[in-house]
Amino acid sequence: MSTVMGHGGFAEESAIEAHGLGKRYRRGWALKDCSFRLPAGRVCGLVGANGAGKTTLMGMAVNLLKPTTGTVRVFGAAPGSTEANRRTAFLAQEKPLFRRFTVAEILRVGRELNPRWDQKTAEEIVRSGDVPFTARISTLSGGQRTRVAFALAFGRRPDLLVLDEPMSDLDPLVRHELMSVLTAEAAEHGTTVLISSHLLADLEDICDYLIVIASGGVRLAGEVDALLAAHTLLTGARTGAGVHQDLARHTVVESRASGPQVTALVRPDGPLVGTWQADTPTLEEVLLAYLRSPDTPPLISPSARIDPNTAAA
Amino acid sequence: MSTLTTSPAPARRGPLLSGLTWLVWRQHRAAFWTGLAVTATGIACFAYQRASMMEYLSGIGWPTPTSPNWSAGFETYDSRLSTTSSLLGLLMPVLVGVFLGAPLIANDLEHGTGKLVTSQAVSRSSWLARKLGMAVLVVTMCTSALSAAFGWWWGPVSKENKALYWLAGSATGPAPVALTLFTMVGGVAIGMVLRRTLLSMVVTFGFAVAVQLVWASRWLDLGHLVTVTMRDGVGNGTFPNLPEGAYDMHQSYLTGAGELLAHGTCAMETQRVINECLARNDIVGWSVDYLPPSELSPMLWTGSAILLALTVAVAVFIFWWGRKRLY
Repeated sequence: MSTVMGHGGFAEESAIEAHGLGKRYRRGWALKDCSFRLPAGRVCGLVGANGAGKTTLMGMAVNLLKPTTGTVRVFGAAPGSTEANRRTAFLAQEKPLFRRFTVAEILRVGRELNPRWDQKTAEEIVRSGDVPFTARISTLSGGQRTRVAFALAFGRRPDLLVLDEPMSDLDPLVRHELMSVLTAEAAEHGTTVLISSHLLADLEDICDYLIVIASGGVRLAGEVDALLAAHTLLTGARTGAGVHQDLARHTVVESRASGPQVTALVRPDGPLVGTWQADTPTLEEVLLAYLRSPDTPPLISPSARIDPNTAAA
Repeated sequence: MSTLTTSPAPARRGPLLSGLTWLVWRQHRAAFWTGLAVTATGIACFAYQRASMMEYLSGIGWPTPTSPNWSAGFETYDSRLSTTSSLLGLLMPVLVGVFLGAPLIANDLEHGTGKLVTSQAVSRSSWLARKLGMAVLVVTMCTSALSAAFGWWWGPVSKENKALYWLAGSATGPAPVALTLFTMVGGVAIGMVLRRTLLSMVVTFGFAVAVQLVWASRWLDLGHLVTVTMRDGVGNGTFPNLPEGAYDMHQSYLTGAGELLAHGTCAMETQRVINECLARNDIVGWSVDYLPPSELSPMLWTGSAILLALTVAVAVFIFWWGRKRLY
């Protein structure tokens, strides 16, 4: 994964670029002033509480929603343009399929509607789950249905695959199986993947990039390794109410007292003083801390920052 | 993109449909086949009915019947034509609107399959255009064929009596086609806005009934009335002779001053009182407004043109809504 990323293009190419993206519904802002970029070739987890705007963000990237403010570009093209349409595949949360079609007919939908269609890849994904091609969609189990939806998405050979909560209603076994399919296909074809999920452990397994949204804006964005390295989990003795004096100069994401101990997730800014036991947090610990403290100043790694010059364009 | 390998598509069987056309046909094939089958059955049925009617007519020596009360035997055939005209002009538009129009887009919006299609390499407007286009095409074909077959059945006896000419005739020519298209496209728009299949079917039913009521009460106004007056009193044999098959819309008494009085002005008990009333009001004859039979065809075409213009307006709305508000 150094410079050339399969047919996803060069590593520096942006799969998604959002500039001040915002969406207001009748009940208020779902997403506000969202700016980030997702470099091509990454498998990126999109994390946020319910109603944080994950589906809204995805919807705008795949032309199901029009932004109220700002712009979003997919490989430099506007969503809905022929170019963006051809290169993007989207799997909606409810995984819609024509219920009266057979599996083979669903694959034919992909073949008929896409100039670029890989029947072999699609058939292999279906076959590896032992889903009969002649079965009607309405007779399939939830896992089989998701597998067919995956086959339809991957058969398009997209450069960007957007998956909205693809695993939410599946049992652990099927989930694990489909995660392997996803990882294998994405690695083989250099597909950029944007996947939203509440299952943080799943994301830890498959993602090398992460975007966290909360309170309508981006709180974390960047490589998983870099984001983890930027945080330290500190454990120390409790000295009183409120945030510990020693931590004042660092960015404290979250500090929690339990009994005589204080556990704090911080973004260290300089050397640590005091008697603390420092650990590297897990991805799950970082994510939970950010979800619980949506007011933490955002941390955007350099690769996820948008160039202010292109923002003006 | 050089590494892309695409396996050749397997050989296709069945009709040579591809792309969106295949998808729309596959998705709605039950409705389309039903429409085609009903049309074929209907045409066969009309042909059979016409044959048996012509057999009866030739049996009695029509058009110069030997027996004076031949028309009693003809009533069966007359009423079959009237019933069929209601099926074509009333029932068909309602059924097509409710069962084809309303679910056409609403079902995809309700079950998310619209998202599935528009997230393929297909634009929203081309998807809508293909759906609407194919539905309009199938409906136009079927309704035109049925209307033509019905007109062929009705043609030889159309002028036999006034009711047959105007009642059965109202479901000939372009009228059933235009009524069905307008109701169906209206149903599509309703489904698109409401996004729920069952609800849009119910609302479309209401819409279809409203269309029928407005059509039934207004289409006769599209003709040019001819007025005829007679000043031979109002007794027996004084009513003006109207052309055969003419539809008398208004009958009034005519006064010596040329004013018109309602037909019932002197509906009284005894002849003596009636005569007094006629004299008092200076009623000298009749004035009748009627539609000559030659008006039927222009009236149907004018009405259909209005309906088709409305259909186009609704279709424009559908595409506008699809671009701006679909998701």
